[in-house]
Amino acid sequence: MLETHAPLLDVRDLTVHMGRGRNRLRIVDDVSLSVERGQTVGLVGESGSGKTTLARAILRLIDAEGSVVLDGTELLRLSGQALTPMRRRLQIVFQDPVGSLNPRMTVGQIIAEPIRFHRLRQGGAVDDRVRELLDWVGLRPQHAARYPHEFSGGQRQRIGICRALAVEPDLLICDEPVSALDVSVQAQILNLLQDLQARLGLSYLFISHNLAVVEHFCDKVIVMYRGRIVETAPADRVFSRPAHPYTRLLLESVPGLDLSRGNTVRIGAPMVHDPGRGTPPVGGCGFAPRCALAQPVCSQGVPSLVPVPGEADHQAACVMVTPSDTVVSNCPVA
Amino acid sequence: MSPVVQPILQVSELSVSFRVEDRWLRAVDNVAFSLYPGRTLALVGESGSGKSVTSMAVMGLLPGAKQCRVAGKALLADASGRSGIQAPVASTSGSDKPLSPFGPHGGGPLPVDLLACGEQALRRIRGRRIAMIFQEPLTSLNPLMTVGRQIAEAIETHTEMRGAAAWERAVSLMERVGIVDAARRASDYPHRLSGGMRQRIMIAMALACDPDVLIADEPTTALDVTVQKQILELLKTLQREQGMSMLLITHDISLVAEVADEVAVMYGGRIVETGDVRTTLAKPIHPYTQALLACVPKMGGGKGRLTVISGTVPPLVENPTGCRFEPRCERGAGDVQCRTQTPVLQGFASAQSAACWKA
Repeated sequence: MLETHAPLLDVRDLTVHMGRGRNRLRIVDDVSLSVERGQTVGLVGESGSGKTTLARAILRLIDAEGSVVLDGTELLRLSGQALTPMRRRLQIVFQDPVGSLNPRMTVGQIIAEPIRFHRLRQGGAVDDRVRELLDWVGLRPQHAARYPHEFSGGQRQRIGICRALAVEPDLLICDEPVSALDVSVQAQILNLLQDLQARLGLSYLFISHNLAVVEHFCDKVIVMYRGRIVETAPADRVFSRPAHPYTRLLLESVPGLDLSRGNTVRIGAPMVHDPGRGTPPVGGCGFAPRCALAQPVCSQGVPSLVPVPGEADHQAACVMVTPSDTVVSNCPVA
Repeated sequence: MSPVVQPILQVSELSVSFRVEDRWLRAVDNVAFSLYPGRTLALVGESGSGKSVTSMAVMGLLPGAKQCRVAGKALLADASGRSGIQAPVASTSGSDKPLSPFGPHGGGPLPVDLLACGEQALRRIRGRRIAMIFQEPLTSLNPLMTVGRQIAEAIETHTEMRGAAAWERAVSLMERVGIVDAARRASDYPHRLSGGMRQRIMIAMALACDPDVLIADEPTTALDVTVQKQILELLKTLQREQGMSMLLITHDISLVAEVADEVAVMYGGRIVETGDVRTTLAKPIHPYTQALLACVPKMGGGKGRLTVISGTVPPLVENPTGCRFEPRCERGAGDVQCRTQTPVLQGFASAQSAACWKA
């Protein structure tokens, strides 16, 4: 009973290595995060920032060091049989609904398979459950007899969500769930996810590169860069008062419909460089090579997440973070 | 601001049908638009709206008459008086602008109908007067050839330049599109470059012959936001320096606000609304444009439910009649006129027109 006060998912010091020997790389570097019950946490960052790898490590799809605690149970130490019941509670919705649905199974079979595997329903109750699940995601009972290729992209994503919900999970990891969809369909899926959360009390870890979607959808936002968390805060705060220069760069890059700004594409924005450019200093801030505010101090140690002065729940990993809502240039803070 | 100049590219009554089994399904239906010199026109629409097919038809890239029927006109004007044409090309190349036996731009002084001229004539125009860049730069590049060699090949195909001169020009083009250390990078294979760099290579290749029109089909869709911004900035800069016109194909209506001068919104193979970007996005007339703008989450837009367009994009049919948006339309769903009579584009306020019976 005490556990209700602990977060549903608690990740501590998670590190993922890939490759061997000289090519061994840290893809996820010392990441800690938590997801409360009923909360939606957004994970943003460019490609290569380690978002998806982090998600896969939490799901135990790849090996990792550190600690992943789901509702009081340490997942990284479980194996085989003991892991199966925990897997039921942690599900994933993929970006590509075509590649993640078996083309030779009907939708009904796709959704029934995990129900039978985890023995959640028996006999005829399975079909009733499938119909109920289809109804939740806005599909009709007769859709159960069709194959994935007979559906549109948005409907396929509904099937993917339906399959994830079939095992009654507590936490749904959504990896770019709307990125492959048209905007009108994207809105339908986001609304559906919100409705399901209200109905089932689900928690979401929502991975997206679309900052506008994340701002709209998430309670808390985590910004990743080169495998590390560089900023974390409540969603409204991250976007209205970003503390880390990288978060600012991301925000500045979002194309906007705000016509008062006119065509905002300008020449020579100071901080913009190719992500691949420049090798980050060993043992320094990974963003320093792209950062307009970088100082010699930035290469003398990896900055750790520290509270942004004067703001609760807001942390940033930058030595230049100052109490004001702007980063003061040429003024390193010890 | 109203352009008194002649359009560089004028498309009219463009229809494209594809053969599916024994039926001819209409993917593009009576589309017309004009692209003016030095301006950017965005064709925006969801998947299946016909925007990419439109651009492929203009480029003559659609399959042959057995699978595909194209009707209409796409007139490419003579552009010898183009402004900005004398803009200095990258200085390090050490050579003048590429010369071709067909004059500076290949075509003659009269407008050419791209849909009527044969493959031979089209070959002289493509790459030289109209260039195209695609969404996925990795699949558009040859993995077995260095990027410098690929750009040089494009130069050799379309100009008199050969060998070392073409290579030098390739390197200078790479510098022009913002690739650092271009001389060394030119010897790299595509897999060594990031997505943004590969798209820069594609742009360098497209610019090899200083085209009048650049068709950019979802040029930044596969890229991160930060890289997207750089690529858009690059395209805008190059466009201004070279006086080039750009046809931007995109599904992302927020990009339109950033880079385009005019916009044409496509739905179900037709242009449903067109006009100046600022007016159209600020005061959309067509219910589809209105709904499309409403369902995009905006920064600072707060939480709550998003507006949705119920239903899905209509399937392709043989002879589309009536308004294609009618079943999903808040104003016109079920209306007899909307269902049976095809609305045509009508002029509204300054430089804005929409095809809607209920507007």
